[in-house]
Amino acid sequence: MRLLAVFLLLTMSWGAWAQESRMKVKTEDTVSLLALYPLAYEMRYERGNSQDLESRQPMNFGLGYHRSRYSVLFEYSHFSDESGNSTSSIERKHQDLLMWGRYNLVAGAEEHMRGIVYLGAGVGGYEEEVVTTFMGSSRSDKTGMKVMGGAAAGLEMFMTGRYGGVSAALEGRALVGADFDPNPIFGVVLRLGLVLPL
Amino acid sequence: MKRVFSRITATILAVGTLSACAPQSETAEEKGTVRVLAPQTDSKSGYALKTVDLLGISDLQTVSGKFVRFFMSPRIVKGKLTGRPAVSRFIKNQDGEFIPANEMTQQLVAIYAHTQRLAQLDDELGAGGINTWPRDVGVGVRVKGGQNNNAYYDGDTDSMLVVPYNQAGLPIAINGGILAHEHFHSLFYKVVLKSTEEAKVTAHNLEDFLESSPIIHEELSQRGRLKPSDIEGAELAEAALQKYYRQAMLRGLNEGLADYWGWMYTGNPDFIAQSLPKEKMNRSLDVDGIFATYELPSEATIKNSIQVFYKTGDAKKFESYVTGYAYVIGTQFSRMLKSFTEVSAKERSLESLAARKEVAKVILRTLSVLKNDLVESKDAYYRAEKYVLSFAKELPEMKQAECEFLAGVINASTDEANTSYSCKKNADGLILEANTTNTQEVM
Repeated sequence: MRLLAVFLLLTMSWGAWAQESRMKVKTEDTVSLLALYPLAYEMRYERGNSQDLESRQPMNFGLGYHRSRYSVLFEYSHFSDESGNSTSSIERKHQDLLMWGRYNLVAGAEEHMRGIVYLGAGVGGYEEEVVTTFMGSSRSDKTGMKVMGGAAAGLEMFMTGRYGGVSAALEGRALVGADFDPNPIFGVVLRLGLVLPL
Repeated sequence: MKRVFSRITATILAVGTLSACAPQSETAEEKGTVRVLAPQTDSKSGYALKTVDLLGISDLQTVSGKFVRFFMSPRIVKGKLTGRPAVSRFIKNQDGEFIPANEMTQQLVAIYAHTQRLAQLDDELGAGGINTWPRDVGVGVRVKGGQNNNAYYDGDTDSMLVVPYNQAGLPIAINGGILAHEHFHSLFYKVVLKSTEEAKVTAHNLEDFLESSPIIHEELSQRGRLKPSDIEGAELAEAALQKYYRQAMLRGLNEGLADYWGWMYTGNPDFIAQSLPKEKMNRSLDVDGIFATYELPSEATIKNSIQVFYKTGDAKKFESYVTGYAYVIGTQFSRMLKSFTEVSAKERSLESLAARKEVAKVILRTLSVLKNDLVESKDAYYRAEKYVLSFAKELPEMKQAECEFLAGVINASTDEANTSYSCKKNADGLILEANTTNTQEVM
């Protein structure tokens, strides 16, 4: 049943893209930008110790390169979650590194402003470490690096001058990984970036 | 625009594909024997993080299997626990061990591991077959009034319920002694109470649980010094006195023997205080120093206490005082049994754990006797010394020091001034014999 669902979804999504291949797409003026996102506010929702969905706010930062309708973004995220009390506690540390490829569905520019609506897919790895502290002694265990992926959709505004500029983006995303609960995990990211025209 | 909508559709479908292709967690594939990290206790080194094999796991994501089935914040519907299962979160380390990644998962694992050990212990001690498996356990149980920091056995649903723990000590779900205590209640309920009139009022049910707060013990310590004649007002009628006496004695024995079970399992006389430090004074089984007492409550003492509670409190408080008083009676039994075990270990040259298990076997054998003598008998007032006599009868080849200890307990606990017990040897070995002569001869 699962395989059938995958097959149908793949076929339908391929079909939807295939329809567009007959259309002529107006090419956008060439754009080449390097973007650094030192500050990003991310929220992910995963099942927590309470058994309900709890939000996590990872420390998130990224480096991207935008060229016309495409962009590539390297993104690192890290968060930890602690539960328990002073006698028995568990801290889970999560970190992941993803490479996103993004395609602009819509792009518009006016003087120094440029706006895009994009879709993205990402692949990368994550590692989790659990530090278990019990009655004064503690031990650490790690998963080792594991593969993860993701899909995203968002919009980004650029304000650029001759030597640089800034950008702001809002993105919704779904991340998949073997230990994620739920799987996929849904989340949003608000990014502020510094842009350097190349 | 048409092109954009088509691409959005394609993207939604692609995300759907992504979801469908999402890799399964490793915990989903684990069945049978699963190696996990859990805080465990043994009677020599106390608590420590250990790698434990959970046996008979059918679904590691909900930590359910042959021994336990968990329910998250369950409700009781038609005599059964209902609700969603608790969901675990593990990581698998590079040695292939599953490490709980949050407190709830650690608690599920600890409860499963202890329950599996308690099942093995049941078989070893002769209680195999009393309980049915898997045991139903409710975690994160929400109790009316938002009470925290407790666990109880519910006879109606045959389940153990653990409410959230918000103190700084050892969480109750990890405390093997408290889990063993609750496990014993399930044995007591099935052997002694089930299908009797006493079942509803003497098992841990929700109402009892709410009423048996530690505050009651503090009140009792002051009220216990009073006599009924010190207080004005009508006394409790004989029929009601009998009812509450029986209730206090049954509950007391249930709690006291369950406390013994907790000590037997952990070897820690303060296993309750590890989670609930305020209970140390009331529930410690450590009988050294100021707690050194082998006296059980006599018939007159229990009657006196019940009358005092009746005359000093309103109807609702009276019920809760009697419930609280059962814990006082219980502690006297558990302390006596612990002292007896130490005497027995020395006399029989047994290690502490072996001696505790031997006494536990005797306790299990006394349960069916207790059903006859206390629950089904028409005797108005079951005396503590009767339990001691039953215990002595079930003891295999009673030794001299053991016999003298038990005789001393009865002599210190009886109301009958002209009757004393001593040890006598007959063809079957040592027995306790009542003498209606001068008590000085015995002592």
